[in-house]
Amino acid sequence: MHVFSFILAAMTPYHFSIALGGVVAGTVIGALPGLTATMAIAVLVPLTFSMSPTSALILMGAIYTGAIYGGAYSAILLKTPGTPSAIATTLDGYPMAKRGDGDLAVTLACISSVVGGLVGAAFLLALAPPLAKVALAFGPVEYFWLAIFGLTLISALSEGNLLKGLIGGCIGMLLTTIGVAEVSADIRFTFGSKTLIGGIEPVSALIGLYCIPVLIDLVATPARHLKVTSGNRGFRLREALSLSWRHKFNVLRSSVIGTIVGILPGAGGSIAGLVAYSEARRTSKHTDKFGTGEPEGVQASESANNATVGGGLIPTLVLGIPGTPPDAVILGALLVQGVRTGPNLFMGGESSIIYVFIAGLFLATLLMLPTGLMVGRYAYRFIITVPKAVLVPTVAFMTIIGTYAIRNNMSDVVIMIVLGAIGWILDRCGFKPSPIVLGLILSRIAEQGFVQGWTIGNARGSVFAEFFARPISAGIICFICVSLFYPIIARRWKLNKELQNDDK
Amino acid sequence: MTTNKREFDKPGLIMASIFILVGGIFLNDARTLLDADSYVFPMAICVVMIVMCIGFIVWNLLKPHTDEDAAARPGSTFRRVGLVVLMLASAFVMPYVGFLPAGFGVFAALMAIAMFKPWTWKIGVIYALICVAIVTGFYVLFDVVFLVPLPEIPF
Amino acid sequence: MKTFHKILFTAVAFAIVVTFGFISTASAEYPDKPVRYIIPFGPGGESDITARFQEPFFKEKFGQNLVIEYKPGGGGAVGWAQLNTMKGDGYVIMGTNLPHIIIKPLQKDVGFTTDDITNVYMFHYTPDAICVIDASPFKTVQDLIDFAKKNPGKVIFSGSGKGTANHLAQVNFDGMAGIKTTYVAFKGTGASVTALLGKQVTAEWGYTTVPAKYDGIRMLAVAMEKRHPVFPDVPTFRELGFDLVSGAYRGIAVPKSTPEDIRKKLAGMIDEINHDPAFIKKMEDNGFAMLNAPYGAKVDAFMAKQKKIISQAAKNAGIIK
Repeated sequence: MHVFSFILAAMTPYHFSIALGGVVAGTVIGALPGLTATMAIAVLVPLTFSMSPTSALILMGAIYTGAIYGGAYSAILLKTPGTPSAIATTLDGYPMAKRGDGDLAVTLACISSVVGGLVGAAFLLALAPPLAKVALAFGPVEYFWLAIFGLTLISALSEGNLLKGLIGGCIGMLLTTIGVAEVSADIRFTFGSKTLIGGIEPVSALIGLYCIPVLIDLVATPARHLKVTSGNRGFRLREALSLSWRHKFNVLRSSVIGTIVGILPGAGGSIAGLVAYSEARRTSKHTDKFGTGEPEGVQASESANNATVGGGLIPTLVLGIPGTPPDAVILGALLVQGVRTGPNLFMGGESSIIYVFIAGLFLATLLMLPTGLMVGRYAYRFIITVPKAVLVPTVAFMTIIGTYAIRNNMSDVVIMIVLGAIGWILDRCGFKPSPIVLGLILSRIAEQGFVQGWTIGNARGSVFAEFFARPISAGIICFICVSLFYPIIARRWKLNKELQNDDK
Repeated sequence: MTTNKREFDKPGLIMASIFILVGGIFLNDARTLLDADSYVFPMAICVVMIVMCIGFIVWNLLKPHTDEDAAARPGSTFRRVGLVVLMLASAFVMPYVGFLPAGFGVFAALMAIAMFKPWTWKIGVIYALICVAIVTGFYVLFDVVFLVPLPEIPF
Repeated sequence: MKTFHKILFTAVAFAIVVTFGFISTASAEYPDKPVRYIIPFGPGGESDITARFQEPFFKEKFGQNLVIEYKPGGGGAVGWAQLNTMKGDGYVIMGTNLPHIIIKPLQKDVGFTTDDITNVYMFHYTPDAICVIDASPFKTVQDLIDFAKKNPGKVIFSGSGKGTANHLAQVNFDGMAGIKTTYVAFKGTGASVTALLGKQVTAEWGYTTVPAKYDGIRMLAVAMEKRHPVFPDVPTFRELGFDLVSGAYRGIAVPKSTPEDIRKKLAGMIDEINHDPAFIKKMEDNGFAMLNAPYGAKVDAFMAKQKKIISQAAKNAGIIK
């Protein structure tokens, strides 16, 4: 296959060092809360002007890959997603760290990210042009139902406190309505404040709701942050590998989910992680353990979010429509370089750029395994050995500067801290942060889909038909019903079975 | 989930009432919006939220039970509040004083608040050096590498 | 004593050199350090792309980097509201958009008024255009009008938001042609085009940049005075009998406190880039249309004219009272 010749072309020492440097830099950047993959790539765009398009792409792809993986570190060790794509990783990653399995979680995240990245890149390589059509098939209504599907995860995340979880979700959704409205561009709920016109920035809200309460509790007692088990267990690589093999179906399925969600423009790593997590939970034998530190949760989230790297590039390169926010920056850089996106990128004379780039993406993803393990080891060691009096100021400081850097806006920092304090109080009252965060992330998509679908449905004559009669929507609605009712039905079925056995 | 104590979930009830208030405020503000596209979604959410809060309050009043997940946390309230106040103060002060002064200030203050062991001269010196190193390190990273325009010292 | 003299001599020499250094930097040519170019939107949009186009030309002509920063929020309002709080030394410039900076202050209190924005140069615009997919049954604007007349409200246009150039164009054109169409706002041109390509909508009120960037799309007409150089086959609305010349205009502004000479200098620099044939070609190949409204009488007249046109259109659209 001629592709292998391109892989060899990608393996020049220059490309190798770019991929390596990019992955490491990306991992570090992704680990810092507040710094997102989008930012990391945006900063480097001017650098790429002096490079050839291929090298530029490889560098940006490597950073992107590393950053999406890096978000797992703070997610696992600090309960704060370093990038939004790691939200679902906090759900089981942090409990694992709390009970002393943080190193295992980090290694699992690394392996899953590598697998996810490879799967995404493989789809990009083999099936990009046909898959790009999927990007177009999703209209406003489909996005609405997808958001609703994501919101059903609230019920899973708030076992026993369903009402409080749903209320939390509503609060999250209400918070996003502050500022400029999605569709109507109206300014809502600012109550006269000029600062609130900018709305509540999701990443700063994420950090506020997850990280600040952790800091508040860290400061209050002298107890250790994470449980440290004695002895140096190294990477726990063998353990992680055997876990990955045992749950290989989960990892692969999550990677596919991640690729597809990445293909959908506007849906990024965060949604991919959440959907994959939800599915993993539904189909797992250990459903009840999810949320308490079940490795499958980390695997699902991390493989899905790294798969969005390859997946997101599919509509970006084939149609010129960015699949995820970092892809928009990559597209801009390509445009300046004069690279024209389109199906012709995958055939004809220009194909060399694409195939060398994809080979570079494979390379960067593979390099992530050793580098990720190494960086992860040091990160883990640092967090568990550093005394609180250094850990707390460092993390607090990092969140301040990181949040500021998102929009160069100090008010984002203030909002983050205020939300953090409120989040801590809410947690004390039984309103967990995850449903609120889910509401925050999904609300915009849900609102946009709803309002646009309503307008189109009205114009076409039937809003009902628009929302329920479209094939993909119907499919998603079925999924939602299955997700919601399957646990109840399964439990009742099991009860019936037990009753039958008792009768015998 | 239900405990033996037949107590009301006081924090939960208080919060739910606050949320009903919040929902009401938003609903009221939504009346000023002219475009249907603007108010339909937030209004729907407010209504759902208020209904659920009422449902929660009624349910808890009828079947009183406390929330096990929301147990009281041990620890120093002073330090907790101190953390939040210090961080807020640094955010407000930073645009006026500059990044580095505010950064050093908040870092040092947080070190003090998070310190549970007694201070010695040796620890003091080492920690002061760590403070300088980390704050300056981040400054360089963000200012030089990421070209983030950090607040400047105004002199 | 000899050593002391030596030291004294070196110290004085050093002081003289340093002082000269300071003097020379003080009277150094503007720009002598990188210029921050703040885009009040997220990455990937038209403002971002044209800024990226300008970047290498700026570096080449004036020797300093243009550092592009994003300050999204409020559809641009956050950035524009903060413009005058920034240092007016010429090293901070911000992208501006019409109709946004005219319409937003008229809708609500957004933290700035149109007059707060000191535009030094309006350097391009994206003319409005009706875009359809290649397979669309509509071959001319008249086809669309006929269909819309028979099926009021059934022609669905996607566009990049409410209160944007796309929206105003749809409202204006509906009025001129005597038809009723439906407008669905999407978040930005990208999403609007995706909806068109995915056949979610009938057509798109977009810009001339759309068929330049995406495959499978053609335009029915453009809202320009003359046909676009890169699309010579597409008629203008004027040719078809509709006096529609509009689009989204973009330029560069500086904080109010920027001194007069720096404003003029900056305007001159942008003007130079704007007349560079390579820059013009790059912009036009990507569907943009050039505009030269430099600081001074020209930009003032331009803003006054647009203010009138745009606020009238916005009133017709029901966006402002």
